[in-house]
Amino acid sequence: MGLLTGCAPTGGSVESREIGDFYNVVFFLALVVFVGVNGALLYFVTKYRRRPTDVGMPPQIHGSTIAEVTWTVLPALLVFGLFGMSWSSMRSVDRKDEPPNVTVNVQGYQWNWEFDYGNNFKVKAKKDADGKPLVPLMKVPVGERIRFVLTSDNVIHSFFLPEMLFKRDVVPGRLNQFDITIDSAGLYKGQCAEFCGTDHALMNFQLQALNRADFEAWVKDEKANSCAGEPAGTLELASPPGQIAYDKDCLVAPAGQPVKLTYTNGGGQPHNVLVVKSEKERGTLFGKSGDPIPSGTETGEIAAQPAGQYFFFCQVHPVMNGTYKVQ
Amino acid sequence: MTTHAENVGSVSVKQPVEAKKRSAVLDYLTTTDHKKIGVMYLWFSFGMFLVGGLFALIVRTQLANPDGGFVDRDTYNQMFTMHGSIMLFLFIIPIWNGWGNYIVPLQIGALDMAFPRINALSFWMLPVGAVTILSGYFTKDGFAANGWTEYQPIASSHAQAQSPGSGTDLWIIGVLIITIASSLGAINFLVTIFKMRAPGMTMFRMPVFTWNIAVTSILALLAAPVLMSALSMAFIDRNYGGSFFDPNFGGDAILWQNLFWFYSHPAVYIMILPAFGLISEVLPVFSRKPLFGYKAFVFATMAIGALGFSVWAHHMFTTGAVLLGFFAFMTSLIAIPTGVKFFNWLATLWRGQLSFPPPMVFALGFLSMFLIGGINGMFTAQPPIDYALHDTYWVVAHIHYVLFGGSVFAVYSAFYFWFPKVTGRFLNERLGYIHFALTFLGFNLTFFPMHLLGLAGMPRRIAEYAQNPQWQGANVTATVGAFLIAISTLPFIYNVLRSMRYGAPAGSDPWEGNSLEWWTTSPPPVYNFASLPPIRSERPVLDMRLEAEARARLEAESAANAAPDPGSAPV
Amino acid sequence: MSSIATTPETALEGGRPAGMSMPLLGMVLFLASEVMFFAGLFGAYFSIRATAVDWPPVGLEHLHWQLPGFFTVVLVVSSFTLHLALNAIKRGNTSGLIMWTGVTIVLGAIFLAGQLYDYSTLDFTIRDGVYGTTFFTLTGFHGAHVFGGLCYLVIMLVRASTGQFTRHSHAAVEGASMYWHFVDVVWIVLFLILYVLK
Ligand code: HEA
Ligand code: HEA
Ligand code: CUA
Ligand SMILES: [Cu+2]
Repeated sequence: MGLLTGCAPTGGSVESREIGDFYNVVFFLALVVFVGVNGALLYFVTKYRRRPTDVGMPPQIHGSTIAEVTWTVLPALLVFGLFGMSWSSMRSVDRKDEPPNVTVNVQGYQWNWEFDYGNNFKVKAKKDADGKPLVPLMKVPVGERIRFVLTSDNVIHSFFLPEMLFKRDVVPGRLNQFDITIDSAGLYKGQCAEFCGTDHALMNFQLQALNRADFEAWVKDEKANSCAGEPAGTLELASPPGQIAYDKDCLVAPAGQPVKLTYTNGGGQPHNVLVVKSEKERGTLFGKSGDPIPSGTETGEIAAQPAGQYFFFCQVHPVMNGTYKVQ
Repeated sequence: MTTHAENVGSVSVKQPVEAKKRSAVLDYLTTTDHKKIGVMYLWFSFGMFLVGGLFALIVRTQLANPDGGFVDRDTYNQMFTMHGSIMLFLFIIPIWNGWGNYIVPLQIGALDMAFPRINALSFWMLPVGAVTILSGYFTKDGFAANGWTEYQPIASSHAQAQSPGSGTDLWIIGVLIITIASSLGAINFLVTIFKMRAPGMTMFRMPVFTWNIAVTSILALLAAPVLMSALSMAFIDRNYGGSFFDPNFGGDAILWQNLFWFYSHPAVYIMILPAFGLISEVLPVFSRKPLFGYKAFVFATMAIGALGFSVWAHHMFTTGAVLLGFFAFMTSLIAIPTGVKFFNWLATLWRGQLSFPPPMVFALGFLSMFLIGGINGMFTAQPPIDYALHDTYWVVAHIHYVLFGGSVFAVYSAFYFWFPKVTGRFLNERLGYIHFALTFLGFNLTFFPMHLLGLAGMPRRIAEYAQNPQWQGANVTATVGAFLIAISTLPFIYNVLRSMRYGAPAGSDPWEGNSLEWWTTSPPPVYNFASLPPIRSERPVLDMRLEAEARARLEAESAANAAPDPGSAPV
Repeated sequence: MSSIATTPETALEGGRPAGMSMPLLGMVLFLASEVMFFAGLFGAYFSIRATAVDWPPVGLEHLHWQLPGFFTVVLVVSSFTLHLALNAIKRGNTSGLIMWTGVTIVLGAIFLAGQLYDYSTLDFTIRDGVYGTTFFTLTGFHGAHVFGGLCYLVIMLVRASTGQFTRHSHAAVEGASMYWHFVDVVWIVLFLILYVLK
């Protein structure tokens, strides 16, 4: 038991210290109950062992109203006190009364994470040479209120930040969110905590809290780097049969010249592809709105555009999207 | 034990009816006798404990290494799913049905259960359910693999790309069979207890074990059907294109959890209340005192049962979909009646004359270990703390401290306590102490470190933890402990097999018991009782023993030629 | 021995408190568990319906209640006829028991046939989203219970015609009627929430 206090959780966020303090109070009460009951047990076991000198039966005590009322009321008081503390700690941990500085949309899928910061910027799991997904890293500014909005399109996951002593389930069909203020900079581990199938154990991620300037620099870098490659005048995009996905999330085209785009739907699911100015503006550069193709190939031309970042997506499945980069 | 030498003399110890082997087997297969059915329950469910334990050993072997590597991830998921499902549905619930079957009719002075044939049916449905669940092994994707909770929509149709196996369908059917059996069993217990008590056996003279079986049966009767409906829905989702649990088609992903826990929280009390009852039989006998606060005890049992229906969402604090305050409060309330039980047990020991044969030792082990399990449950009952601890190894520690440190210790205590009644022979005492020491040590070695892992944030149900090699130390300790627990079962199994034939004869009332099962011979005749004593209190056998002692003393005083005490044995 | 010599039989008899017979108590408890089974289904239905945006989903009309309403009346009447059957045997009137049980079986069969007909008129299936899933699951499980009840009643009919029930011994009939009333009540609730409630 003593070991447990040694490991008493303390976290890297304002909320987690709240939880950690409450844990310590409960731990203290638990220790009192544990020592009290086990102490009495040991004492009785040594004191009242049956001796050869015992004659007849011990006093046949059937009960005592006073004693029984006492040990109903005392734990009851303890429970009410505990509930009061639980309630107040819950309210401050779960509070959402301040607008957040940064909102991260967390998308859980089998079996990885995607962190969408809005404005056409998201962090996805990169893949290693063998095509195995790597642990995705998200960064957030330290000391600011972050809101995590959790969505899943398929099964239930749980977004767990052990060092923040916090998790919340990622439930399909439900928009869970929580706010957190991480106040010590550092690299933290995260993991999926709700069983979600074969590779549940591999749904790790990392979270780095860093100061505002570094955070902004990182966003800028990521945006620029996330879509890179040799510009080409003919581009190809495809959806594997039966999947709700494109095979690429980045298309790079040369500036100031028209580009030919060929899209192939492997079938099984209706898709289309629209290339637009940006996620918000949606001025269509390519594709017919509202006309998904069940399978087959569609070819078209994208008019010459100035250098910059554009956006493409599937109207049927908005989770299918990517960056069209002109350079 | 010592004072009963004369009893042994006056009672003919019946040999178990194993004279002719073949007919004995047939006899068991076709029997409707509650005692034989009870014994079959015990064999079956203890066997299932070993099978479930085997799965646990695979789990522990895998986790000894951060990279896993012993089995692949899919297999690992099947292993803990089978481990949890078998331990709960096929070991701990049925084994208490077994003891209930054997003991309850004896304790209330009845001839048999109310519906003997339905009783046999509910037993035989269990092996059928077990075979159904385990036959998943032979399907393409192996056993069911979504945890014993089979959360949806992971296990439902539209996610079938991820959970295609018919192992899950077999799991659903198997559990359905088992829950039907358990509600039939519950009806049987309740009718038996309400309708078949001996004259003078009022409700408030019933032994506390019987009381606990009664409340357990009410829980099973009302909760199991809800699981059946949930299982039916899951089956429809998977096989007939239904969408109860799939939000992409209008269903509700959280619905399963509500239905499942509406059953499964009461179900954890189905697993522990009989244990509470057993402890309440053992402590008074070996303290030579009545149970302190019998009525309070009965009311506490009812309170636990009733509260058990209003706390299910404490398994769902992190879903963001439940009323945290209400469920946290109701959950914590359960500590009060449980506390009453604890303090009454302590007060039963107080000023007693304690002796420590194996059943008592296991009962004391229960007291100190279940206490830890109850207390670490109180941590997770506080939502903010549960945000940190939910679905981590802390919960695994909780599960095992209540289920192993609680129920299993009590099951062992019951074996040592009632084995003499069932077979007419004692289990060997020395082997019993060895068994206890190994179990106690192995148990704490396995499950205590899990608290630390939980605090460190190790999630449950993970096949590997390569990102966190610092967790290995505690995991290896747990693995070593697990093998120690496995070894600890050996002296017990040896003891049972050996003592059935060669154990010391026990006589009808080897422990100076209180309740009616100690009145009849060991093993009891087919018709249970040749005669019944008058029942004037909740300890009729003690009353008779005291009466006989008083009469003997009188006779000894009046006449110098002290006749041999006829003892309290039945004619 | 100071004990009162009681044979196992008297022990049993004496201990049996007045009131319901054991089989009947068994039936009551069984029905309690059935109530919980349907409570699970209804709970699922309401929690899904409460969060649904459109109920019924766009493109489907609200179910017509007229024809099912008629069959509801048939089922309710069958409860009364079974009650008459029970009353008959309570007076020792076996032919009354046979007649009214027969009428009940016919009415129950009409109800089942009607429900199957109603199914055939619907333009959605169990696969078409959660609306169809809940509808067919709820009515399907109820239909299965009606079918089970019919089998039970047929057995009662056979046993009655071989003269196995008397004025004093007819617990099985009593059990059958309890079960049938229960199935009937479940249907009324189902009818109200599925067909009538908007
Ligand atoms: C035998 C089975 C059993 C029993 C008896 C209990 C008893 C309790 N359980 Fe447990 N529980 C399980 C089996 C059991 N549980 C299982 C199997 C799971 C996991 C399921 C899964 O997800 O796989 C689980 C999970 C579980 C959770 C969910 C954790 C999570 O997933 O995040 C919670 C949360 O509140 C909880 C709480 C409790 C409480 C408060 C009690 C209380 O009843 C305990 C009360 C007892 C005491 C408190 C000790 C004695 C009291 C005193 C000495 C009085 C004084 C004390 C105080 C006032 C504190 N349990
Ligand atoms: C009564 C209930 C019960 C019992 C007794 C046990 C006993 C044990 N449990 Fe279990 N456990 C659960 C109920 C139980 N458990 C539940 C409900 C879960 C949750 C499942 C889920 O997440 O879905 C769980 C989960 C669980 C996990 C977490 C897995 C995970 O989340 O990834 C672990 C990990 O160590 C574990 C370990 C053990 C060990 C080592 C034992 C040991 O006590 C076992 C001791 C070993 C033996 C008794 C074996 C002896 C036998 C032999 C040596 C061979 C003989 C073989 C034959 C003849 C076939 N259990
Ligand atoms: Cu995602 Cu576990
Ligand atoms: Cu619970």
